Parts: sequence; C-alpha cells; structure tokens
Amino acid sequence: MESIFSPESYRIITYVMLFFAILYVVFEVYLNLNELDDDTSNIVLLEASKEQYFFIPFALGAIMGHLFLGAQTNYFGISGGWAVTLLFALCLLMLGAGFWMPSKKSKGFLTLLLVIGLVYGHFIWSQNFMMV
Amino acid sequence: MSGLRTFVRRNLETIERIRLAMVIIFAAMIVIDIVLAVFLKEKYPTFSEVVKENRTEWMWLSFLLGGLISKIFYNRKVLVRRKEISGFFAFVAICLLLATLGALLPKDLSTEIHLAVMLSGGLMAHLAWPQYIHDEAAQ
Repeated sequence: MESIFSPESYRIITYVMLFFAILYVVFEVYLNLNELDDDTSNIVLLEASKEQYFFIPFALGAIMGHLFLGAQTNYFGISGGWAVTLLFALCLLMLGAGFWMPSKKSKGFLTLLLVIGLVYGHFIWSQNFMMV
Repeated sequence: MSGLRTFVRRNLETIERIRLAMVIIFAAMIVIDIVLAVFLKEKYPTFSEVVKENRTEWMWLSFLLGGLISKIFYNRKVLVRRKEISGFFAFVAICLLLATLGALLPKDLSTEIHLAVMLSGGLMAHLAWPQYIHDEAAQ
C-alpha cells in the first residue's frame, strides 16, 4: 500500500509518540520510587475504573482494537468519523452514568467492558476497511 | 482490597495530583491527535495512521499495552509486596526483541498474530511483572 505522507512526516509523529511513551514511563518510575508504595498509575486507574470512570477499560479496549486489530469488512456501515463520535458519546454516557449512579464495579464487569471495547475497535472503528 | 481503599482515602491529595498529571498527559495526546486529524491532515499522519503504516514495527507497543492493561485490571494481592524490578527487565527485554523482530518481519502480519502478541503481553505481565497490591487478607 502506498504511503500518503512523506517519510519525514511519519518520523516526526513517531518522535511525538515516543516522547509520550517515555514521559509515561518516567512518570511511572517516579511514582514507584517516591515515598508512597501504592500510588502507581495502574492503581489509580483501577480505582477510578471501579468507581465513576468505568469507561476507561472500554476506551482502552477500543484503542487497542483500533490500533492493532481491525476487520476488513465494515459490517455496520459506520464511517471512521462517526465511529470516533460514537466512541466519545459512549464514553460520555458511561461517565454520566458513573456519576449519576455510583457503584463499585466488579472485575468481571470491567473485563466485559474491555472485551466490548476491543470488539468495537475491531469491527466498528477499524482502520482496515476495504474501499469498495 | 480494603487495604488499598484505606490507602487511597489516606492519600487523597497525592492521588488527586497523580490523576491530574495523567489527565493532562492523556488530554495532550488526544488534543494533538485531533489537531493532526483536523488541521494538519494534509501534512502529517495521525497516531493511528503511523501505527497502521507498519503495524509489525509497532508490535512492541501492542505487547506493552497488553501488559499495562493486565497490570491495571488483573493485579496480584499479596501480604508482602515483592520487588518488580526483575519482571520489569524481563518485560523490557521482550519489548526490545519484538522491536528488533518488527523491523525484520513483513509489514502485513495477520490480525491473529497481532492479537496473540497483545494477549502474550497481558499474560507475561500477569505472570512475571504483576502489579502487587498489599492486602492483609491475601494468603
């Protein structure tokens, strides 16, 4: 498949992505080394997901499915732009529900959301749809 | 898990600061991606397009993200926290191996292989580099 951008453009954005990856790792290392033991971002994200922010596993699953999986057939006929809009809308709905009806979410429920997100990223927000 | 809840309650101010820093990092990534997709779409690819261009080269990221998701949602409760450093190095070694392999393997690997890499990252993190959580009830 032909690239539509110059190699230089890809390189610049790759550096931006690596910058964020390194920033996250440095942040995580700092949290591991500071005076508190249980304050890593993993624990903060888990606690947030179990309470109001239960959209987090869904969003992470969708991003993973979008980046690394991706069906070739667009079974639902939803375009890329609408898939992103729908994803934001679903996350906002879940966020609203989280604040409206606060409850502790089980590991099974979070796993289900993670898998649904992955399926969403694969079947609805795919980058691999064949042009017809 | 009650130990963790007590910890969160006791250190609410620090936790809030960490949350804020994470929100800033994630929000900055989203804003940059939106700017790339809307205002600079003729000149620069989005983050997704960079990965799509050669997924095989980014296999290490799939493995790493699989591992991080496993660390977030499938942690291990222990009575005494263990050091994570050896697991961390083992995980980084596999990431480096995948980055090297990614440069050698063909660009168009099947989706099943990418899924396997992602799941392997999760499994390896769970087995060798789990997020230990102190829990008095753990045996």
